[in-house]
Amino acid sequence: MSKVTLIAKSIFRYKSLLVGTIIIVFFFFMSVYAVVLMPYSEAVKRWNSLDYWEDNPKLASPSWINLLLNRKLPETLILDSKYLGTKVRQEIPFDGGVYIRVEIHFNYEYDDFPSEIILRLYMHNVTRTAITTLTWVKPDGTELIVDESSMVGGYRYYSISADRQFQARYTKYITEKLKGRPTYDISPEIALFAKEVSGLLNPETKEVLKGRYRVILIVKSPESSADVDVKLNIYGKVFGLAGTDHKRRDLWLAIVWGTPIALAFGVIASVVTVFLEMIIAALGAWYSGFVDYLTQRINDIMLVLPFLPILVMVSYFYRLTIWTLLGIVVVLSIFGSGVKVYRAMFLQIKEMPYIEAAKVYGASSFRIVFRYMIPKVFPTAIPAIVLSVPTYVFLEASLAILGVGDPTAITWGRVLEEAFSGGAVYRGYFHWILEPATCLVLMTLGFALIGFTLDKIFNPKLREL
Amino acid sequence: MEVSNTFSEKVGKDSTAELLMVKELRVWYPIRKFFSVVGHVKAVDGVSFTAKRGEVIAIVGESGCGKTTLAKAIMKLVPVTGGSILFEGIDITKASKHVIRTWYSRNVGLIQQDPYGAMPSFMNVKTILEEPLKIHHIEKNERERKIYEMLTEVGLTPPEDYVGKYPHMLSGGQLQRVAIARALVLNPKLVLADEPVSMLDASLRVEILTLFKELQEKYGLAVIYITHDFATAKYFSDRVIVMYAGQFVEVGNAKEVIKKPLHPYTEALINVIPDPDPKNRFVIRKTLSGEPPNLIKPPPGCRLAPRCPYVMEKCKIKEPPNIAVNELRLVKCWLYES
Repeated sequence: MSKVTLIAKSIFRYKSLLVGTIIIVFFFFMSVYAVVLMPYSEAVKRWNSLDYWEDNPKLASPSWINLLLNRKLPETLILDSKYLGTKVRQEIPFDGGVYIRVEIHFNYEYDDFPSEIILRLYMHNVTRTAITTLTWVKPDGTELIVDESSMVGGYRYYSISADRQFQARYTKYITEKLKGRPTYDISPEIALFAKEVSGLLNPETKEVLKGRYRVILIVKSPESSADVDVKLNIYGKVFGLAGTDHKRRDLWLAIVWGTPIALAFGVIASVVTVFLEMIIAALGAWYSGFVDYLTQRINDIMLVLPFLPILVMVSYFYRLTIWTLLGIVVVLSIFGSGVKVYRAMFLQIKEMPYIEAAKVYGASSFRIVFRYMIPKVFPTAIPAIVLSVPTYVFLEASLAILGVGDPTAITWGRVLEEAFSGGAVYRGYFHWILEPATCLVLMTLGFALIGFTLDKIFNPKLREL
Repeated sequence: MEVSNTFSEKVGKDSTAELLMVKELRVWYPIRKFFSVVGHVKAVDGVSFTAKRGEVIAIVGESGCGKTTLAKAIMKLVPVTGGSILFEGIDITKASKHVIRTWYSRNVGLIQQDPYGAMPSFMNVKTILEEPLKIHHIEKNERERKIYEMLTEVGLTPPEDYVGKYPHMLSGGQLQRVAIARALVLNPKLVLADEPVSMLDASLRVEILTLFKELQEKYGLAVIYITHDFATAKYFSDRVIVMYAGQFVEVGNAKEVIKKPLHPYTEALINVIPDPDPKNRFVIRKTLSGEPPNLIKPPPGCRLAPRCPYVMEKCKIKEPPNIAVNELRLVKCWLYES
């Protein structure tokens, strides 16, 4: 009880500790949320799958960006004829076969053009070639024939955005209609959603035509049993809480599941490292002689060995998972300056009268090391543990950027690495970089605030005057 | 507390035997240069004495005379170079680590000089007192009872108020009481008190010593009381051993030694006791000049010879033997050669 109140008091007394605690508690609940949301294996499976994300826009900003802008960026519209629209079948007399007319309506009230338009056609019960015609009707009544083609087989993936033929036809059409050449390439998604006025000729003045759109697909199949389904994906420019990356993946998943991984990696690495450092130093100091000589010489060697090249080398020879990476990081960092610092402390502690007293009443060496010597340095070790957590979180991120580590793991570092190689900064996809980076910085800040304050509390010599 | 202690029962049945016999004990600290030993600091150089059950022996001497090293040797804290220490007839310098840890450590207690350093700062009073009991596998209920009993004995009452306290919450006097409780918690037969009150306030010294004396009498403890202060030695002990430069120079009954010191060094030590009598304010006291000898290379004859006011030619050449003045009195000085 008194301990709890003491902790609570110091939290409120030191504002930095309060802020740090709030940040870390936030990340802790984020981790709990991640685990509740889905198990890690499921998250990894989803993250590394392509199909799972096919209905998401590429490189979309987070949705809340709309709250900050005075323009409304489009959301993604998934229009599936299975669930909406009308379908009319008409048997073709004499020749046999069937006409199928699928019509889909949707409202488009956004201030920007969609990022991409993809049409998927699913034909059922066909063996022979069918002829499809896709007509786009704008709210003002303008009809555009987007595509006329024959289709063999049951499935067709048609990226309207990538249709150069349509683009060329439209450019010609608009040149005639507006009596002027456009000064830029009008991409299909602009063509299909633009107001066909003279402003369209200039990229700065083009405007979205808001209102009710109709998409009409007519399929003529020689087989009367034929049936068709259409899925039209009009990808927007915003998505979800965190936006998406170049593989259409929802970055929210990476942010959420990156939290427990970063926390676990940092906390396990720092706790295990500091404790092993203490144990090695304490054993060396206590037994002195050969044990001390051996551990100190190993330590000296490890001190001069370069950390990063060894890690890179190991990662080239073995396929690392994030946990084997953790193991290697711990093994490489237990011998280091920490052992020297703790050994110096233990050499002092070893000669303290209370150790002598313990020897007199029969404490074994093991007991003296673990029960009498190591607890004595806890006050200095606890802030050190807390302060080294972010070091390891950052290390993981920097290793990911160097391409060392687990390629399947969901970590903030990997997201950053992909954003970096995807050119997120100069292409303007700031959310892709800022989200993982902010998480990293916040976590570092949280641990640093707590660590420095704990240092002040445990080691009063540093306390401000 | 009746602790079954079969080993000590076996060896210690003979209660008439001396509890502790130290024979020709030598503790030399080697001086290493590079990889070879170039000499020794002869901190304790050939001392012998015996302690009976329930006897209080004070070892008096100035700083650096080897009294703490002697205590440490008896406590097995420093390696012994030569001689033997017999405790209940067992030579503990040759005994196995197991015997020392399980049997000897149970029969000796240590009270240190610095009560603050003597307590692990991260343990509370209960844990501090429980540790020796735990190490000697005493069961939980018994441990609890013993801790409360000891705290009451040393005057930390009510014990409930103290068990949860950490050393920094207690005063020096209270800590020294805890230290006494810790030394006595295993019911030892011998307690070494290494300047137990020298770091306490003058007002507390008598209080702590009175308490210790009471407990000593109650439990019939043999005590080796190490001090540089004749005043407390006189108050506290049956016998006094005066130590100089690693050797005993005078042994005798406490009161007699103080009343009539024989050895020039003892005389000098007693002369420097502050005297509150105003009649003596103009008396110039005889004090020794010079410094104690270098223990790496002590003088060939009597170790006090370079400083002694009564020095003779003989003293500088030949080491004096222990001369028995009467049955209880030994002096290491050529002056008493009859």
